[in-house]
Amino acid sequence: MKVMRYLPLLFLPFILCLAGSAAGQGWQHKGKLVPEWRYFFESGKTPQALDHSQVSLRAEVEFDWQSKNAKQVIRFTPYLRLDAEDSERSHLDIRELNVQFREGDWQLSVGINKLYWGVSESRHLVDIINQTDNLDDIDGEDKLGQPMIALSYHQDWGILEAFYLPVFREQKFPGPKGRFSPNVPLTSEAIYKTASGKHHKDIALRYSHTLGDFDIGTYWFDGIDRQPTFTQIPNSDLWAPTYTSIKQVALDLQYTHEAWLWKLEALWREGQGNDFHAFVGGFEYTYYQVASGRFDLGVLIEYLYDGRDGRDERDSQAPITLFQNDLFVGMRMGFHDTQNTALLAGVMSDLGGEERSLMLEFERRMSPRWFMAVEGRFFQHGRVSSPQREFDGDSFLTLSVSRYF
Amino acid sequence: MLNNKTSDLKKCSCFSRWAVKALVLSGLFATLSVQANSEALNAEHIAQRVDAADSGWQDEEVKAQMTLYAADGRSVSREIRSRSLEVSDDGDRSLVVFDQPLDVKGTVFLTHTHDVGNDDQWLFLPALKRTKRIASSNRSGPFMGSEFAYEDISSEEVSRYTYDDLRSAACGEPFAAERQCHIYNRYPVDKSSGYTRQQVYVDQEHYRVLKIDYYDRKNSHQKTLTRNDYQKFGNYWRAKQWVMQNHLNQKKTVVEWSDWKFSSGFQLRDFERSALSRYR
Repeated sequence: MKVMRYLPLLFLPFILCLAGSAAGQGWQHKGKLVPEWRYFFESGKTPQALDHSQVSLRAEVEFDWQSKNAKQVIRFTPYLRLDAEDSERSHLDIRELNVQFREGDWQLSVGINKLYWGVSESRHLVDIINQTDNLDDIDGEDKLGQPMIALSYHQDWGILEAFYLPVFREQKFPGPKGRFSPNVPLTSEAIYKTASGKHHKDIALRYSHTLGDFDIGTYWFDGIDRQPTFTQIPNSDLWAPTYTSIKQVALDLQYTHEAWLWKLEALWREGQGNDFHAFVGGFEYTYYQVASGRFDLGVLIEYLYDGRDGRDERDSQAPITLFQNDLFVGMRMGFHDTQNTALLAGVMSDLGGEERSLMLEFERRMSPRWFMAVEGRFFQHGRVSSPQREFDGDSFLTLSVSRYF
Repeated sequence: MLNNKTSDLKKCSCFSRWAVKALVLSGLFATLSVQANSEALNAEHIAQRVDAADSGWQDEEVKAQMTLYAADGRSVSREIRSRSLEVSDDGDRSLVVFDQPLDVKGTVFLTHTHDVGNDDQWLFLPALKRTKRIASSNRSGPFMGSEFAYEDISSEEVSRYTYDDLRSAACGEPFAAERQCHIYNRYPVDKSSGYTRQQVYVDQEHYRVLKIDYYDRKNSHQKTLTRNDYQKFGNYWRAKQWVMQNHLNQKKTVVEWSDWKFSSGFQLRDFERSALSRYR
């Protein structure tokens, strides 16, 4: 397996850590080891694809060091997944490896970093800096580390941040043995429809602020769209992931009042055929202390709109989306027990079609060091006609047990 | 004055006599309510003394080890670190960092308390690097599954309660029999509070809160908080142990506080949502 080459890297933090503690500095670490078992209800669509059961193991360790006055921070977070079935899904990534300096109103961060923008729950629409780690999960919450130089300036009127992203990270795809793999053969060489090819330097500027009950963020992004389209290579069966450069303005807004959270994410994009806009808007309302205080019950409703052209990539220059006119209805139960038991369930329905997907997440602490989670995704009716994705038949249930150290 | 007036009015008709009675009665009520008011003022005065005795520390860091006891005596433990900043023209700001259990390690909870209205709260989730603004109206919910509600551990601003029924009496269990306390009731102004009233026991020498009895929405005596082992750090008294006993479900939470640091020079900006991702 190709990841084996990188395995010695995993020892680097331990050495760093030892060196750090020997020097009496402020090193800390935390980590987890997670065996995971995924069960697919239907057998794979292709003869090579795995049948029902997929076992894997993931490990993540975070090391950080802080100077005495907390003005300098070093952080290193290697991540590894080993998959028993799909060797393409086995991968090593550096989620973080950065140095941060803080002086007065200024903060500078150099290196590989991970950050999150946005407020909505059903789709992470405006979150753009980090590439999605497709191999880990399909919920878009796992991200690859992004090399960057980030400078931020803090004032009473808000925070201004500038990002320079010198390296673009391509999306990775499961292999033929895996699930959620593209149903056409892909080349390893991606096509870049940008002025300077894959060496395009992305730039982002963001402003964010809290004004009473409102949390607001807005940014301008000039760079490569993280999500590719697919182009068939002439005279060949192969398809190439194709990246285009875009310009995007986006907004994330939350209004918090009593038990209400009102949320809006919106973006305007140019560069992929006709300009378009997209948004996710809705609310979360929580009933506290239900059933004699045994749990809190949250109700989530979000409407999703995306105005990009076409439902089929063959007639669109923008990557296909599942969320053109959809409604998400969900509920969250948080129990007030010492195990932190929580349950999240939701249904995403296409208002213009029959597609529907159901998600279910259950988690519970088993001991101070052990934590378990069950996650299910159920897909109904042929989702989209896309050479990249066809989740129908890939409904699954995942059981994972985390060991923290 | 009133007497003179009534003697003049004696010659009047029946109707006026009723009026006089009413006047006298309302005068009586006025005096009574002034008395009640002054008692409220006195109780509030004690609360202000408590607040004043614990002012000027600027910022404070402290570690807490929390042990949650079930009714059958089984226990689990949690570790947190808290950092607070005194804000003179508004409520205090605080950051709580979770260390144990390990699945929530690195989670940071930021609160901006306000003298009036709801607090502002944010939660930093380290796995996603996501900072979420959360609703703060859940004041009565349990903190980390313990017997402490969020409102029991949040900054105690004087203006968040109304007061009455000040008296001086023995502090009672578990304190020495001869120990005298100022005892008063306070009533949460916030409708989302889980309590109708709290009975506060304050020691007469140093104005430290020794004990609080909590009465829930049904006015049952739900919980008792006892603050033990007070120690003086510079000008400020801190209890090393807090015990919250729930009388209704027999559960108990014990907090052992340690490693205090005062006046480290933190700024407002260290207590903003943008600062959360750099805590650890």
